[in-house]
Amino acid sequence: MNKLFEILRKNILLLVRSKTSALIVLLGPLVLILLISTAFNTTSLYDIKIGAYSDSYSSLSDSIMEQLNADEFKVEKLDSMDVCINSIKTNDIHVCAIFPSDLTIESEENIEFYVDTSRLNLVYVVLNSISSKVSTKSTELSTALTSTLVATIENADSKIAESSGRIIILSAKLTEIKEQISSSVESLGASNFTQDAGSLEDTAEELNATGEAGDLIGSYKSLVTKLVSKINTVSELSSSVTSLEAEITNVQEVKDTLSGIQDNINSVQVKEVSKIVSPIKTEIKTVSSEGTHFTYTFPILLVIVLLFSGLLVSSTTVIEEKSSKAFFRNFITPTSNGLFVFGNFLSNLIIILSQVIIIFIVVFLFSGTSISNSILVNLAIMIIMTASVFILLGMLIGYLFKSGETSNLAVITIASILLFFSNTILPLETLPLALRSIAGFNPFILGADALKEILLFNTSLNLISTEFYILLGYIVVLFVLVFIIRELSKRRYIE
Amino acid sequence: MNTPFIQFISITKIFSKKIVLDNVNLEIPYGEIFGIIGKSGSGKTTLLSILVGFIKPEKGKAFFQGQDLSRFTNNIRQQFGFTAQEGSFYPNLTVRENLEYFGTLYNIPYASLKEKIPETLKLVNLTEAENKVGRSLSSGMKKRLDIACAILHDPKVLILDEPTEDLDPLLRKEVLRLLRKINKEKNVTIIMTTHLLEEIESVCSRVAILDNRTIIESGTVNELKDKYSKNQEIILETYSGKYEWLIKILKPNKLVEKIFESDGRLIVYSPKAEGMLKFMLHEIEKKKEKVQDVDLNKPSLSEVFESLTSQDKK
Repeated sequence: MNKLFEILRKNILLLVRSKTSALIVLLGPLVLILLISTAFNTTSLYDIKIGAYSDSYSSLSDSIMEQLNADEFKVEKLDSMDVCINSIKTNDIHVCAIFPSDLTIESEENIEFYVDTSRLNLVYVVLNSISSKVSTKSTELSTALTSTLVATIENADSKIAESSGRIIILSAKLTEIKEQISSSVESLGASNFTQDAGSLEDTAEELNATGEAGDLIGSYKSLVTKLVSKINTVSELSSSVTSLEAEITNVQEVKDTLSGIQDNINSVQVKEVSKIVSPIKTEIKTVSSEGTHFTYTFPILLVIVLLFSGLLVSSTTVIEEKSSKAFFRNFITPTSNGLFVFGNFLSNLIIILSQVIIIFIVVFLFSGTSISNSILVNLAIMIIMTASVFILLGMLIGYLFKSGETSNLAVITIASILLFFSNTILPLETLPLALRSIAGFNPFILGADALKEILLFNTSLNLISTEFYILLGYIVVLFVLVFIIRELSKRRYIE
Repeated sequence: MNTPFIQFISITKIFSKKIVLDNVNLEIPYGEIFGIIGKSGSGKTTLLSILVGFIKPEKGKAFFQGQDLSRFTNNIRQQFGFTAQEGSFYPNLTVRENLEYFGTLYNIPYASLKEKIPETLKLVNLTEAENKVGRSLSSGMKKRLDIACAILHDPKVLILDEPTEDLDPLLRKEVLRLLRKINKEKNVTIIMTTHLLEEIESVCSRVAILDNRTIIESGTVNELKDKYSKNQEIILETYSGKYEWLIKILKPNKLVEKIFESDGRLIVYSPKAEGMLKFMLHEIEKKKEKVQDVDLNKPSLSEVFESLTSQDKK
């Protein structure tokens, strides 16, 4: 135990006494996190420039630009489509929007957005943000149009209802008139009148022939003629009743049509404008609590610090130890190789954990983010596990390579590989399946996933046991390798 | 039959298919200062590394008090102290911190360390530099710190690889004095390598000559001198300091093994030194030169070494 303590003390003293190493090792991650926490502790995008061009701007295109100009975007009208597109290539603007000339809601042409897809980390964020803003404007317009439409339909509905009532009354009155006429015609007994009129005419002829009626016959004839005329009118009235019946049927049909229209209108269940404009409402909810860019990226940043610090600090201390004059004396003391490896590993772990503690203090002070007590133990375990893998990997590199330069190159190469084959730069889903399954064993991914789950979702160790055991496996294998390589490095030292 | 204190039997060491040590046999007695001499790259450091268990030989065995060094246990390690050619301490730790660190690695309990450190610092005359960091020490102090780190745990054997390398003559003498003191006061067997033969001669009681990957001779310094040097050394100095004419006369003489000028003096090696000196004085008198100083010496170890290694080459 004394030996272990003395190895730790010696390593820490050597680090502290080497001012440049101490500065880089302790202040490097501190400055990094300080800058990152200050810069990314926001949910916004800043100073995103949108170039716009249209042959002829309309009030609608101006209004869309006005909408885009709010908040984080700056819209700038450019002279031509080519200038607009080329400005993306030269990074002067981030998005180019080409509006159809005299854009109105009746226009069938699209608004075209040009983006630089090579800027992977930005393009989708910007597009998403722009789409959302344009969509807001589009929804506003849809709402206005739909409101008009709905109001017109509602107006028509009420007019139909009103007209239907009148038609019903009309229909009833016509039926009543028809019935009255029918009854009058019936009571007049029109068919007998014709017969009776004929016999009266016959009687008048007979009277005229006998000459007994004198002048009366003339009056009588005139009355009979009038009577016959009236009788003819009554028979015309009967035919009018028939027409009236036809009209009543027509009125009934109109009424039925109007009722059908009204029923159709009434059968439309959704009449609220907002529901018609967006019948399916979507809401994206996060499974983690709302946070800033920094909150989401913090687990990754933490693993990046662990990766680079772990690899660099441990490889540097091993190279310094190897090139130290005292290296040989260490080998010939009655102290086991394993104790040296463990002592050096522990020293590096203490340094890395000190950095992590400093980082958490800085994060707490500057971004106000606090860590819940319930996750502290799990968090500490996973940080130690992840840091241990990188430290042992760094020690292995340190023992494998002869000089600081080659060791640093190896560290940068390995760190880059681990970083590229993680979710940090490109989603793993962009990799071919075979590579993706290999990348799944990347300690960077394992550590980042585990820390993300703990920090963002408060996950217990049981749920991240896969990551835990794979990292544990790495630690055991790397420890054995470091032990073997240190033994072999004796031979190199003598040669 | 007494067990030799340290014994190498048929040691062969190969690095990258190159034989570095070939069938080395050597015995080192207890309590002496033992010198191993050899040219650069002759395998001196490799031999010492085998002795401290840092590397294992391909063939042969090394023994310490009858214990096989190939099974280099912590118990055996505890009996050895080692100083490397370039020093083996941490330059960014203080003298005390270095001693505390190596003392702990050599299983010295903390309570004993408190007593041992001042004692050792006093022995190597570094008491005043106790709190100075290693890198700020002078060359001589660094060497003494290195020796302090090697003797703190009271080893039975102190091994020094080129202990006076890169030191000026005064510091060399100081280090050699310290070694004699350690050998005497602590009764430590000292094994040292060097290619500076004068210091071996001044401090070592026994030497071994390592050449062509093997030990070609070993014994006391006088034994070797008597055995291998057929010449004596004549050192002559005249007031004029001009010797070209004399060299011209002496060079063809078969009794002159070697003749050269050095620091205004003429050095002549001859198996019949007395007769040769008479002849030289006669020639000087004839030339009417005046002799300022003349000396007749036994051969140096350097000459023995040269004689042995050149014989080996023939």
